[in-house]
Amino acid sequence: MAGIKVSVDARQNARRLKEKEPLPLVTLVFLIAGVLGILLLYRSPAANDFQTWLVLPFAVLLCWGMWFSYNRSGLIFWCLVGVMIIGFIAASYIFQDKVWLQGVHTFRMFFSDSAVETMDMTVSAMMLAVMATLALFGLECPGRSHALLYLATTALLLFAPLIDIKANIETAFLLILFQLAFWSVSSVTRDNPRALLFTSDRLKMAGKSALALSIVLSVTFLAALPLVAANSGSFFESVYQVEGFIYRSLDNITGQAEKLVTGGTINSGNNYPTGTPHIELTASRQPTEPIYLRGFSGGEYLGGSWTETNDNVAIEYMCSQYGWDRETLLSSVDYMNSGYYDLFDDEGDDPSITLAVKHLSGGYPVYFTPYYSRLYDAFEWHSIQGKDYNPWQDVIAFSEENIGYGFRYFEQKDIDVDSIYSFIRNTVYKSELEQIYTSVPKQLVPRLTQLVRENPLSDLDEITAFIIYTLHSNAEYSLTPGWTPWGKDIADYFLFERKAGYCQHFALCGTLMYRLYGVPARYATGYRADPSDFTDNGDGSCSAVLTDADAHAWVEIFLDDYGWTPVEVTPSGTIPSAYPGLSGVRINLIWQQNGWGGTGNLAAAQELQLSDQSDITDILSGFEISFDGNGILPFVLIGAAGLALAAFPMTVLIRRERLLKKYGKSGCRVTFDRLLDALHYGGLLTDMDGSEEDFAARLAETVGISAEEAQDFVSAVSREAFGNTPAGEKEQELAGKVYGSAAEQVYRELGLYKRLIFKYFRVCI
Amino acid sequence: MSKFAFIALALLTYYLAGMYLSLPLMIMGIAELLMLPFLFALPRYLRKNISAHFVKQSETILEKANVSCGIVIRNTGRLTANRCQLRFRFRYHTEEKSRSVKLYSGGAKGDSEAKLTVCADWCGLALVKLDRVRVYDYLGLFSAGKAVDEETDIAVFPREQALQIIMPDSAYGAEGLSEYTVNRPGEANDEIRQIREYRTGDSHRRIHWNQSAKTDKLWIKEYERETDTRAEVLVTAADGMTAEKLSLLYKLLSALVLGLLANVAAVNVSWYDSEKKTFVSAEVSDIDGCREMLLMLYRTDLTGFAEELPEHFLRVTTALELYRENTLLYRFSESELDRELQEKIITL
Repeated sequence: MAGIKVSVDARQNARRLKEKEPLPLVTLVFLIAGVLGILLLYRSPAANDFQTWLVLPFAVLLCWGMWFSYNRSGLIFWCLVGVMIIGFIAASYIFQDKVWLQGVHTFRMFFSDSAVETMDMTVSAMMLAVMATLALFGLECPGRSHALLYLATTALLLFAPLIDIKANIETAFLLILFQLAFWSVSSVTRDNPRALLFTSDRLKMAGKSALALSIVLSVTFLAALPLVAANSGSFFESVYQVEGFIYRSLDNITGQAEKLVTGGTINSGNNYPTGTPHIELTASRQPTEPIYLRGFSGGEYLGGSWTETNDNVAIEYMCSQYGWDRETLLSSVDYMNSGYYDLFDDEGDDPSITLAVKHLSGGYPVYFTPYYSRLYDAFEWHSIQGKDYNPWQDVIAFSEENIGYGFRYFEQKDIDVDSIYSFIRNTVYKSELEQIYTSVPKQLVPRLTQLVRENPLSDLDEITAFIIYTLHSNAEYSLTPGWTPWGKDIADYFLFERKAGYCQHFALCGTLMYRLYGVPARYATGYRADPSDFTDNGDGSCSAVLTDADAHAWVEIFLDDYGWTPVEVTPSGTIPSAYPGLSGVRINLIWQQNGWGGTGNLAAAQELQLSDQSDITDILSGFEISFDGNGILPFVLIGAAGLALAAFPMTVLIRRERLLKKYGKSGCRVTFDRLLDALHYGGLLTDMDGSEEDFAARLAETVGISAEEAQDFVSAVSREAFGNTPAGEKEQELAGKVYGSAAEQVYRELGLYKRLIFKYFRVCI
Repeated sequence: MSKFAFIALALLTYYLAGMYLSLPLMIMGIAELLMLPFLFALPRYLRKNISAHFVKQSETILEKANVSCGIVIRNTGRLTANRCQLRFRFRYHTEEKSRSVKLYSGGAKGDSEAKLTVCADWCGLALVKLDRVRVYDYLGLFSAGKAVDEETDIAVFPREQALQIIMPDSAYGAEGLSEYTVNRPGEANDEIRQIREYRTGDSHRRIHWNQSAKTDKLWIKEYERETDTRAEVLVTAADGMTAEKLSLLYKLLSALVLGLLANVAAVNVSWYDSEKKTFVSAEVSDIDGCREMLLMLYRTDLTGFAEELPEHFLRVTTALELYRENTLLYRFSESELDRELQEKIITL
């Protein structure tokens, strides 16, 4: 036994749910906002275009038709739904060729790597308008499933950038207006199983609250617009700071921070180094040039990543191509690489540096090798370290004894080119490298390919200067360039759209550009140690600890006299020499000679400033463009204004007609309430509320009816209010007559403006 | 939950805006976040202007029947409140613990009336209290509540069920009862002794309609037997009675009184009022009187005992025992009470 149960009346609630309530006008406005938002989002990609003057008014008309017919009659509404569905199917059949083409175009636009030409999508946009109207209206109004639509439209807005659809400001506003306004409508406790029956007009109330909310939204949107436009950098930075904190924390917790940085995958997001020590270097003397420790060389670019390569690839290729003996060739290449070191030894003047490399974390999955170097074998290295050599253990095992591995390497300035065997120059090896390391998947990077094609160069120095100029003047160095959209190649996106990135992106584009110019180049990753990173140990040697922040990517090209040589293409404040023979000064000179803009950094800085501002002006210029006649905003405004002008009087008349019909069927009490309302609006009998004893007499006097009629009317109202029987036909008639006289009396005394309100909005006459 | 979802979506918008350097999305995220203070403040503003009260302070209802209680939600502010939560606490008069339910309504400008359905299984006095009104913002994310103190009493009466009673020639406290055998209420056709003016509490069934119509005043018929046939019933209760057990007592008492009224003109029901420390009695002559008596009984604390019970009484106890003087006539069963009240014939 439950004792007492306090609840809602479930049966009456269920009955009410079946009753159809008229939708207020504001729901039409919000519905139009939603449908237009979706259409404008569809039009956002540059490759999509449609006749806005046709599609947008068509969509508005559909929305109005749905709203109007829903309020008018169930039959008309379902007929319209049927017509829309049949029309959709018929259009699919009649315009099947266009629909197919536009469908394929849409698919290619979203999922193809290559650029897509702009296409007129009017047919598919109109079909989308039908679908969107049916879905939005159907789910919001009869279906009352706002949550589903909220999530769907949010997903549309938030994930559109993933496929490189950038919503503009109008689209964002229209969709969020739709979302929040209908959220407000749906939050009215109509469908809640614990909602009490209450007498107020629910949807009208919901409409009012949605209207209030939309005003607040508009205000906050307008407030956010200048705020964000003026401080975009700070807002974006705040996101990166939070993301960086989370990433660093996760990397520290999961141990990811200790992993050595290697591999050929280009990061398509932000880079948040943790500062975890990775490598300890000990040099026999203070280096004077940056040391590039290569752990990975990229062979083939696969779009976002490189396959790993080494000299064996070229050797295997040459063996198969020319039928050479592999072992002979290997020893020749080895000689080529290390021969000049022996030459220095022979002369007794050895400028080489012994470099000990010890991994502080992450084990020894790879060796990080400096350029122009030779790895000490285990025996040699143990001798240098003063340790006994155990031939049964390989060099990896030595790491457990904290010995690491060691190189003998030369700085570029110490290499005497003339002393190097001529074998190195112009060998078959180099010509084969040109076959292997100049391939580029041009379909992935069409804009980069076009850029190189439009700037033909053959001299290596000029090519290098142009690459550095292009990268420095078009892109800003940033560890937080954001994400690359799906389906976009990171190289093209970095250089031509985002215009910001870090070493991986600069090196990627640099390598591809070298290759497009026919210069053998590889994408290399590892660590870079600057001379300033080293500290003197007091015994002539010096040490440096490299962290994950020192992880780096660069381009390596094959130079005739030097072999594989690193080229720094990432901006660092000054223009360093690219390789022996091409100093920063000469690069500047080449820029000037070719009219590429004086000081590279200055030009780059200017470009970057413009790039910063372009973000702000982009959104603001959206409005200007719209008003220039190229955008959709004028059409939206004109169309909306035209439709509002047409629909408003019609809606007012229909409402008036419905209310008059409703009042005609209502009893004496309702008529009495209307009478008081009308009189008070006209400023008559404002001191009375109808309960006064002399009300009948005053009413007769004011309205110009007989005292008996007034008394009979008041008595009939009292009987209906306090008795059990409704007023009879004669009493109803009398009530109508009294009300009519009163309303006419008030109407005559009102001015034009108040008359309109009295007649068409208050529907008093 | 929806609050956190909204904030999470706004933050996700903000985050993705940062990742894709989308200023429109950033503006959208910021606008959503800027709306939060407004949404937070809105229910606090609405709260000041919202009040609620019951339309009636008391209702009557038959056991296991529904009654609709009207609640007026008044919004004196300019903004509409599209969602209000009303918390009701309900209990029987004799119980200390109450249960609660939260129901929702709207709060348009002016007065809105909402209907609350109350169903009571047990007889007694049910108290329904509206103790808190909570108002939500337009998205239902934030709310602000305020305490109210509105109460309605719902008197739950037993259904009209008379116990079948066979009276002896001389009954307790009555003379000449043998002429009234087992009659049903309303079947008696006694001679009218006199008519008098209507007084509050008189049964509507005894209104002399003809006379009332002629004189434009209400007149009441008084019968010969009313003055000289009477039965006395005493109600005694034990401590710690639950509302459910008291409900059974009320049902038995109601059936007994109505059964006696089929045989006598009036029944005098007495009980010991522990608060006043005295016996209280009520004279019942018809079904309305019976309900008035029950209402008095509902409001009385029956837990105490008088040391000496009056003699010559029919006595009903909370153990559902019916005594004549100190002789147990019948002990009704808790589980079978309804059936026994219908079928059992009590011979006094």
